[in-house]
Order: sequence, then structure tokens, then C-alpha cells
Amino acid sequence: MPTVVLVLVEVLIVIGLSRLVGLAFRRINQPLVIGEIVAGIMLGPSLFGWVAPELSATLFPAQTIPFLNVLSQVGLIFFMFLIGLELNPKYLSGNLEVAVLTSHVSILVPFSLGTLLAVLIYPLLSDASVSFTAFAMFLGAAMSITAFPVLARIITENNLQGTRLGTLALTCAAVDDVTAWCVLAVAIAVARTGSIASAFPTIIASLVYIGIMVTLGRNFLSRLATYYRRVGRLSQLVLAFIYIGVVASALITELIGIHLIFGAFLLGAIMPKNAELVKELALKTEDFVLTFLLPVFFAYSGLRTEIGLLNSPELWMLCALVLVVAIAGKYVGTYIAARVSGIEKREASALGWLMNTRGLTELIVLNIGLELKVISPLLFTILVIMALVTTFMTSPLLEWTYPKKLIRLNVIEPEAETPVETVAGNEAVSRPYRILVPVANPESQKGLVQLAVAIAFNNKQPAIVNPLSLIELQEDYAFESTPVEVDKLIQQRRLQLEELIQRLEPPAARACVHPIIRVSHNVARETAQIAALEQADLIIVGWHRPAFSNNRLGGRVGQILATATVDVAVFVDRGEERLESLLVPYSANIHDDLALTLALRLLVNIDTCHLRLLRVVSENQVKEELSYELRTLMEQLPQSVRDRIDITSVEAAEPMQAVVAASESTDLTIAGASRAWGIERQTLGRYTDELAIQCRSSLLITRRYSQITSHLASVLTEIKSEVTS
Amino acid sequence: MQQHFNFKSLIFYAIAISSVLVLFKTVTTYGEKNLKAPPQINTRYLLLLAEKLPACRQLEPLSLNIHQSGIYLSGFLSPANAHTPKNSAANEINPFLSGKYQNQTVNLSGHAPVSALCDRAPLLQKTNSNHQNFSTYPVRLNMKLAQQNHLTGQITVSGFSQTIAFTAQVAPTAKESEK
Repeated sequence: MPTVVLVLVEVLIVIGLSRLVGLAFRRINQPLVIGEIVAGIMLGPSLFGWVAPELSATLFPAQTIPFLNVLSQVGLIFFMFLIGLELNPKYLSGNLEVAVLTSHVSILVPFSLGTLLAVLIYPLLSDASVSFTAFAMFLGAAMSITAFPVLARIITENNLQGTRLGTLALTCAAVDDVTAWCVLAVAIAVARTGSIASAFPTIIASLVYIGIMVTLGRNFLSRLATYYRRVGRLSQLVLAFIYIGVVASALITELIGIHLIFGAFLLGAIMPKNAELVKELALKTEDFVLTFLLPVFFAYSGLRTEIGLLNSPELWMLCALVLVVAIAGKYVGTYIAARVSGIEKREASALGWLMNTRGLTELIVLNIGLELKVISPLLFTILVIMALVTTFMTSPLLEWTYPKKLIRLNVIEPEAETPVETVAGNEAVSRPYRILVPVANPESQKGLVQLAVAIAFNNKQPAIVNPLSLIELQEDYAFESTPVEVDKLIQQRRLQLEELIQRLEPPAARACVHPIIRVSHNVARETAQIAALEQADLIIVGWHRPAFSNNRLGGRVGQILATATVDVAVFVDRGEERLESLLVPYSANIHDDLALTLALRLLVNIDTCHLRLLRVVSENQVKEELSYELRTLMEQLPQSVRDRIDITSVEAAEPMQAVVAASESTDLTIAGASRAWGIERQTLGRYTDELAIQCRSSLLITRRYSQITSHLASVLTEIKSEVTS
Repeated sequence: MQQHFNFKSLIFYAIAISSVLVLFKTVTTYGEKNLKAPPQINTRYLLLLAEKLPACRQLEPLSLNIHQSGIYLSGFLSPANAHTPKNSAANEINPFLSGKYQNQTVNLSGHAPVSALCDRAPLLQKTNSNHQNFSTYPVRLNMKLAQQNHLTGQITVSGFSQTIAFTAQVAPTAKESEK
């Protein structure tokens, strides 16, 4: 087969497998890139070549390797450009002193340990063609890397970017990254020339080049930014110039004696930040680079990773030693520095684990080392294993030391909680009544939030309404998922929600509405989790037409109904702003009880509300009594409330039709999710939505989960105490 | 606060960085002087056997390819004459021999493919039938690298008690080994 065809076949396999394995790793909550790296390793002698050597040799023969190398280098250059683009000085603005200290220590300690480790490893794993200095410097640099891109994404996914821990980690990682690249540049210069002294000209030349770029280059590029602002879009001509710049810069640094990647990184870093130019540039470049070229780099690296070389226990011990030194250096170093700066234990520990992430950046460094023959294939493999293990560890360990519960407490969120937590027995009284309202579209869901406020807010009991806006990030590794961009999105949502809140009635209620805005990749699950964490009493969610069915209770709403461990109500808004006449169809069913309870709550809260309680009996049925609980509840109601309740019975063969008829003259119908009203939970957990379709008024469908939650008792005790006092 | 940042912290950083640099300098000086890494072992050797291998009919030279990672070596044997560009990749992926470099001697043991041990002559079946894989033979070899122009060694094929001596020459690599 001609080489070109073979190379293209290889690229096909590489891209396909990368996506597959990447998605599998997403499932287990690991970063996508780690999956792609593993896919590359699987294609090499470690798995594919071991299991099917003949097939592997046919598909990946030696003559195609140089072509893969070219593709991967091009991908790497543009990837480094993207990383430079993402590096925003904004990350350096917060927590500067603590961050600088922590990041310095988190480089110095692993670097020193790496140097000492080199003393042990050099006679075993290196050969005389490499000078010890170059080797030690390289190993030190490899130990001190923190992968900023991977870390940034882990932080965004865990919604840490607003917290102190998150900003600290990002700042440290940014400083670490830049410093490590500098150390790497020196290491490369030393490796190429043999000793530090002879590397001096290279180092001087690099500094001069960096100086030129930072001054003249930035000047030129900021003019480019103004040009862009005037024109409004990024034309292909400008894009061509920028790409020429990237490649030229890469070539210059290669000629100087440090590697291609530095030039590309430098150009990305000096691009004017916070300009729409950068965003559009990133969006245009990243899709092809991340989906096509970068996996080729991982495959190329994987083809050189030979896990089969670790064929004796002593080699695995060596691997374990390298791993321990790497983890100890980063974790212990960071932990001690953070503690010394006054950060509390748990946060310092979490910071240590976060800084331990080596991922993708480490792989780039190792490949350069292997290319320059500073490290041998066996050491390369050991270090790749180290990079993967350390990155793999990060997410689970972060969750373990710093669970989501505690992260919440660190976010600046004004809480109206009454500080009576010490009274254990009366928790139900002191805890505010909380309603969680998932809001997908703030523009059109004012009615939903308004209803929540109406149910929650009264003058007798503290209440909180939390509109919840969950941002689902589209792409895992794009520019849009960097912390800075995500922050912008969150701000946008916050503004929209604030506007909505300002339009709510009554004005006094606005103070108890506190939006929650998060990043999530599983909206239903996150909603259920937040409801449990925040101890919400009720979730009120708006209906929407789901994508694949007509059932208004399917799709995301159905998922929430299935996963939430609190009472849920689904609101079908017909646009009526009034909340004066309520209708509750009643059969003695727990869901109907909830419907009635909420209706009663509305009655208590709003003086002008009237409730019509409709009991529909079919001809042969005995009249159903109200349940015992509810009767006692009704007796507890003050006279002023009971006066506004009207209980009627209607005989009808089809209860639902009776309800529909009655709903003509009401503002809001509140119905339990029971069969009588045509809302039935079917075998797969989906609900039929007949009533939702036919009902003439706005409809609130209630589904009870918890037997314990009382939506009314606390209010009534308050009323009673008012009456008796 | 600014002053505090400037003074105390700067001194701390200065001390920290310079101590690391001093450590590095010390360690590298020590390393350069005292630590010796194994020499770079050339990748391809031509083995001229003193006598023919027991299982073979003729005296054939062998080619030994060695991949080195410090003192840990892996390699494979193949017939010197056969041009196997296609199989070479497969063999590189599954090197049959592994071993160490110690005291200026290369010690390798493992399996060698049948095609290496003999020329096109069929394999004599009287050898041990407890070989799982009839296409390879367990071998051991060692090679002294003390003198560059006089490389000697011995090869033993399991199942045959003879140890056969050979002399080796550095062979030019047919293609640049993979980067």
C-alpha cells in the first residue's frame, strides 16, 4: 500500500479510537485528554503490538512513522499556540502573594527531588551519550510540571473557579507552567550543547527573542486587535498572517536551539487578551487541532511507549519510586507552602492534589526528551506512566479531600439562614423553607419563579427560593471551557436572573430569592444533588416539550422526577398572572395530599386566594373522605383560611373531564400525579400528561416523595402562636 | 503589606532559589565526576560463529540488534543475510531477548526465532517437545565489550549443551532506527 494511504488509514484509526476511549474516560469522570493519551498508548507496542504484532506491523510500519511525526509536530505547534492564547494574566491577579509562594515551592521541591533521583537513575537508565547535567535538569523539569490546561478544565467542571481554592490553584498552575517551560528551555539548550556553560549563548539568544516579542510583538498585535474591532470579524487573510506568525516564531526558536513549541507558545501568550479577537481565533483553530492533529501526537507518543519493557519486578519498583518521588515532591511541597501561608488543612491538601496533575504538558516534555535522546525508551515509558497516574488521581482525590459540600460554603452567597443551628430538636422550625427552581430560560420563565415565590414567601416563616441555572458546557476541551470564559457565561446568566428577580411581586419577596448558577454536565443529576445538599423542601420545574417525545413529563423533567429525593411539582404555565382562584381535585392519594398542602400554603400566604376542593366520585363509589392527616390539618387552619375553602363533590364517570371542566374558571389547578387525573406513572417511570394537555388553566402537577416533609406545619404553628400570643 | 511583600518574601525567595541552585550545582558536579552511565551500545552487531549451531546444517552469520535503556537491554537475533524490513518492525515490537549490561558485558537471554538459528533448513524435530512455541528457541548469549575491535562472546541454545563462541563486529544499520 502506498505510504500516503497507509498514513491516512492510521489517522482514521487514531481519531476514531481517541474519541471512543476519551468518551469512556469522561464517563468515569476523568478528563477527555487522558482518554486520548491512553488510546495512543493502546495503539503502540504496549497493547496493540503485544496482542497482534503482525497486524500492528502492517498497519503501523516503520516507513509511516516520519509522516506521523510531521503531523504530530504541526499539531503540537498549534496546540501550544492555543495554550498560550488561553493563558490570561487575569489568573495572576488574585491571591498573588500566597500563589507566588506556593507555586515557587511547588517547583523548587520537585525539582530538587528530581535532581536527587537522577543520581540514582542515571547509572541505571541512561547511557554515556547524555551528560549528567542535562539528564538531571531534564528529570527535575519533568517532576516539576503542572498541566495548566488539564487543571483548568478540572476546576471548571467542579465549579471551583469562583472559589478561593480554584483561583489559587489556577494562579499557581499558571506560574508553575511558565516557569517549567523556562526550565525546560534551559534543559533543552543544555542537552543539545552538553553543558550549562556552552548553553549560555542559546539562553541569551532566547531571552533576547522573548524580549523582542514581548515588546515589539505585542505592540504590533495590539494594533491587530484594534483593526479587528473595527472590521468586526477575523478574515482569512488575517488568520493566514497569524498562522504564518505562529510557524515563523516556532522556527525561530528551533533555530535558536530551544524547541519549536516555545515559539508557538510565546506568540499565543503575547496575543492581546480579553479581546474578541482571541476568542474567535481560538474557536477557528481549536476544532481541527484538537480533533485531528492532537490525537496523532498522542498516537505518535504512544507508539514510542513500550510498557512491555518493564519486564522485571525491579523495573516496576523503579517505576513506583519515580511515581512516589513525583507525588511527594508536588503534593508535600505544595501542602507545606500552603499551610505556611495560612491556608487551612483541607484546602491545602486539595491544592496539593490539584498541583499534582501532570497530564498533557508532561507528555509534551517527555516526547521532546526522547527525541533529543536525553531519556531512554524505558525511562520515557516510566515517566509516561507517572504522568497518567498522577493525572488520573486528581479528580477522585479532590472529591475525597474537598467534597462538593464544602466547596459551596466557600462561595460568596448571601444566605438568609437563621443562625439557630445549635437547637437540634427544632430544626424544622429554624430551617428556612426552601424551594429549588430549575430555570432553563430566564426570559420566559418568570411565571415559574413567581409561583415559587408565592408558595414560599409569607411573613410567618423564613423562606428561600433558589432559581437554579445549570450551564452545560458543549465541548470538553475548548476555549469556552476555560475558567475565564466560563466566568463570563456565569455572569451573563446571573444578570438575566437578577433582571427576572427585579420583576417579581411582591417587592418584599425579592430579598429571599438567591440564584444558584453552576456548570454541570448532567443537569438532572446535579439538580437532584443540589436539592439534597441544600435540603430543599420542594423542586418546582417548568415543563417543556422534550426533544424526542411529546410527553410534557418526559425528557429532562422526567429525569428530575426520577432522580430527585424531594417533593417535585411541575408547572405548566398558561400565562395567567393572577393567582386568585385555585382548584384542587382530590382523591385520597399522597400526591393529592401534597397538592392540597401546597394550595393551603398559598391560601395562607395570599389573603385574596380562594380554593375550590373538588372531590370527584364515580357513581358506584363511596364518597372518599379526606385522609386523617388532612382533616386534622384543616381543623388547625384559622377560620379566615377555612372560609375561603369550598369543598364540592361531583359525580362523573371520568374524573379527569370533570377537572378539566372545572378548570375553566380557575387561575391555577393543582393536581397530584395520580391516575384519577390522567397523570399516571407508567412502567418505565414516565408520566402520562393528558391533564396537562387538556387543562384550561395553568396547572401544577405535584408528586410527593418524602412522607416527612411538611409544607404547612411550621407555618401553622407560627399562626397558632400568633393567635395565642 | 507592600513592604512586607518586598522584603521578607524576596529574601525568602532568594534563599530558596539559590539553595536549589547550589544543590543542583553540587549534585551535578558530583554526578559528572562519579557517576558513570553505561556506554552507548551500538544497535547492530554481526556475529560470526566459530562453529555451526547444532541444529543447523551450515555456518551462518547472525545479526544481533540491541535496544538500550541504560543498563537494561533488549534485542533480537536474525539471520544476517535475510532482509526483513517488514518483519523488523514486528521484531522490534516483540524483542525476544532481554538482559542487562554489567561489567562491560552484555548478557541477554530469551528466545530466538528459528529462522535465525538456521538457514532455510527445516527444524530438526528431535529437540525438546516441551517448547510451547515451535518457532522460537530459548537462547542465552553474552558478549564482552571490553575491546572495541575485538568483541567476543558466547551463545548457548537450550537443549544443546554446547556453548558456541563467536566474534562480533559492529554492523552498519540498514536504516536509521526509529526516533
